[in-house]
Amino acid sequence: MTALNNIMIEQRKRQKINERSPTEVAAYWTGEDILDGMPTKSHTIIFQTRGCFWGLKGGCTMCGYIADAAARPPSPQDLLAQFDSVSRRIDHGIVKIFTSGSFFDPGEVPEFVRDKILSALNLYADKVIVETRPEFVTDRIISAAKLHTDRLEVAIGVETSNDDIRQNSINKGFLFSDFIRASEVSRAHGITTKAYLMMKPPFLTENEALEDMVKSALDVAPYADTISINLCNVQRGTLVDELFYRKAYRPPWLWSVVEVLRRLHGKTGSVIMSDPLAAGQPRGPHNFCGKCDSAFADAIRRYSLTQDLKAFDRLNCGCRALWEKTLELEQWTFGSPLVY
Amino acid sequence: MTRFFEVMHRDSAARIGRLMVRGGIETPHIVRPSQHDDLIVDGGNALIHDQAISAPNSFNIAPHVGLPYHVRDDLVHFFAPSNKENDGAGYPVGAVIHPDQAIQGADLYIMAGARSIEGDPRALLDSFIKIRSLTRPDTALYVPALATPENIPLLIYLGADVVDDVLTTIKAYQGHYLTADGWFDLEELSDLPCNCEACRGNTIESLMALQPVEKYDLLAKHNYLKLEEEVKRVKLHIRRGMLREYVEKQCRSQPWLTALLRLADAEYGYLEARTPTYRSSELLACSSESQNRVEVKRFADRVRTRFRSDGKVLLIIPCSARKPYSTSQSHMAIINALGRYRRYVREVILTSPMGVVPRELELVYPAAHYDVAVTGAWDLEERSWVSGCLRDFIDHNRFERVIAHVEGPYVEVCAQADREMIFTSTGRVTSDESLSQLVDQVRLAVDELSPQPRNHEQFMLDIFRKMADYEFGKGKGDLLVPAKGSVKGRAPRFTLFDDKEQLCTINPAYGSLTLTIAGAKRMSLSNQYFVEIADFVPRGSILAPGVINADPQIRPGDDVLITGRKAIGVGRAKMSGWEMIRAGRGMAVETRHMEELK
Repeated sequence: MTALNNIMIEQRKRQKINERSPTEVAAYWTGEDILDGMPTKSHTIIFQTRGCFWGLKGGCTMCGYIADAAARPPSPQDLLAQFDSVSRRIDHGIVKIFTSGSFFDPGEVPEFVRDKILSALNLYADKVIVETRPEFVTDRIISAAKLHTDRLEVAIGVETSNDDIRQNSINKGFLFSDFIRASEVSRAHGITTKAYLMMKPPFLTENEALEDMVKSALDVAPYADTISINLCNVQRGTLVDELFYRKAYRPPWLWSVVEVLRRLHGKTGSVIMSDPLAAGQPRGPHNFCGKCDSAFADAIRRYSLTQDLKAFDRLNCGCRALWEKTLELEQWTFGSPLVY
Repeated sequence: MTRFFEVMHRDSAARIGRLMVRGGIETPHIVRPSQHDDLIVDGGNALIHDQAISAPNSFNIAPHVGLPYHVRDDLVHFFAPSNKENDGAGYPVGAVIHPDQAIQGADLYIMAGARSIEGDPRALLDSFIKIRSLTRPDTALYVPALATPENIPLLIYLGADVVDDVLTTIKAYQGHYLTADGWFDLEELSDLPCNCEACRGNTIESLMALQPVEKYDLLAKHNYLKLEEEVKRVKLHIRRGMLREYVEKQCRSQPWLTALLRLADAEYGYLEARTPTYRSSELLACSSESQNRVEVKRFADRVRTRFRSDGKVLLIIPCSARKPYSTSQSHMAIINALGRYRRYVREVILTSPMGVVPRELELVYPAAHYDVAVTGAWDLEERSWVSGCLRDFIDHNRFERVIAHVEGPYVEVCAQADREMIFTSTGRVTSDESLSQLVDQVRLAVDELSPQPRNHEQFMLDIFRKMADYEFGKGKGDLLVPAKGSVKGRAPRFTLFDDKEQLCTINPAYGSLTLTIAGAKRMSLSNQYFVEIADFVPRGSILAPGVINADPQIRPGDDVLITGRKAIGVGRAKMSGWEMIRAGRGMAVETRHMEELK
């Protein structure tokens, strides 16, 4: 176990758990996503389980989802009741299933519950995306899941292709080779892979984070049909939260996100998208002037749905020069953001 | 041993030094990352890079993860670099350091993430103190991405040797027009209040009409020029030994900078360990912080702990603008009025901010060197400080009668000391009426107490005794001054002899004694104020590597005894004793007399 994990175990002791009825989902919302090049409706369900096994052992430095784990482990009936509470609202489109950990972890979601949910969704959904850590992408689990779903995609938070960053900045606990293996297992069963990348984990400058995203996307593209770039936001109780409070962390600039998407455009065969959660807030991705954030967030969402660079055509703002200077000079702080 | 940095001048924690690359670069130095300066070459983030770099003529930084002051200890520990000897292939080495982390072997240390503690005076002061205690004194300290024209005097005052143009540049790109006394939003300016190269050819209108990048670059140029101007000015003040006066002014523009100075004064030990004991520059007391500066506190401390009077009758008199006090008209009037009675009293001068100055110490630095803003009104802090000094003085000595010949606010200060005393002045201390009352009271005291008279020769010897006690510790004066010693020379440059042997001279410019070898020997300075050197006979000055051991309480300006197996001598310390022990470079002692031992 790394020392960073010990730090995370200490960190988790201070984290509050949200109290909820065990028959309620942690969250459910609808939005838009892209399916075979066409925008379509999407449903996101976050189940309340006993929590991510990795998170319970410390977990990732930016992850606050452990707060969505149930205080007492929900029974299989509770999990099915959670599903029933939202299933009626699902008619068509993409369904994305999350827990605060891995849907394919039988410790979180027992196999028969998993199969029941997948086969029920198969009646309505055009595509089901399931998030899991690569440990649970095995022949046995994938072939079982495949039995109940016509169109399944496995989403894995590989975060970066740089093992050093994944281990010593994020504390993810698996290697890039684990992700590749999982992707190959899925592919062998005709199942696609979605890779989640993490833009700007802690201890990186803006420029380092930007370069890491471009490189990571190029590195994961051969193994991922879809690449979703998550923009690190500051979730309560996390190590990133503490660093943020101590002025040692700043979320990514939206300028950087656009730059990453521009630089990657046409360079991969994958769909590349990003959902700028909490954009414009101090704890979310933001620029400097406080005026242009929503225009940037809209453009990034539009690009994600259209895969068309025209989305960025009219983006401009006086704070661009400051962003560029920040990229150039931030390493000269030797350990803190240059502009907050 | 540091081969790439040497300190040349010191003024308290501030230094002028030399980075020994590229033919020598004087510090405090501004590196210019905005101009692709490669004096410091960064190996980058250790999460991404693992290749050590080795550029000749640059300070090489191994890949690292820098963590700012406030992050938790376990993270600092987790990312601590492996402490293997970082020799940078023989090239200069820079190391990114957190205040809770010791890293050996670098020539230049970089305060990690200092940007995050702008406006946080406690954290910044603590960073300076801790990093300085963890690193050798002859290494350079780089405070990155923090310098502005406004804060640079304080950063250098606290010990920054290297700064950069990063914050001045980035603030320009935020539209901030920086000056030595604060910043302005470009939008709020109606005129460019500056004559620098960037501003001279422009008006606010022409500046605002430029494309953003051109506009910001021009602003960055102005901001940099202002920073450079301040650094030059600060160097001038270091060379004059008057940086303190400057920072007392410059800290005013921001509350956090004022707080920084006050907190540094409250820490005392950090500045005290670096502040000279004697020097030839003036000490100007123009602010309330002046009273808390090391020189003032140290003087009061030594009067309290090292000075003892043998008199029975104490006479308190007000200070004068002219120094030494006894050359002033008011003091001469009092002295003349006392006439032969003067030999029965011991005089002490009441003054802000020095507290109390015994007559015997009136030539000592800074008693003879200060000037203070005089309005006739004393504020509460001054009163309480000076009356406290007076109370201590009375309590630590054995006077049987205290006569206060004072006027105006001094009366209240004396009263506030809360000790029994007789007031003799009826108005101005030099009025005939006041002076005759004074003489009456002294005469009365002499009749009642019959104190031992002290003749002029004895008084002169006492000056040497008390100065030696003040400088080298209680009891040293009796060792130095023989009962039949004689004093020669023109005031105030007196010289002390024992028969024909010269022992020491008063150096009025520095406000201290200048010892001969004989004088130093008499005080047996072999365990105090000594500098032990290796087996050589020094020619000229003694460099730090030649020092084997030294008294840690030595401060720049102290006269010291130099001892070694091959030579003995005296000289004036150029750095503190603890620094002589730890430093591998720089002049330690300026020798005055050396004798070869056979």
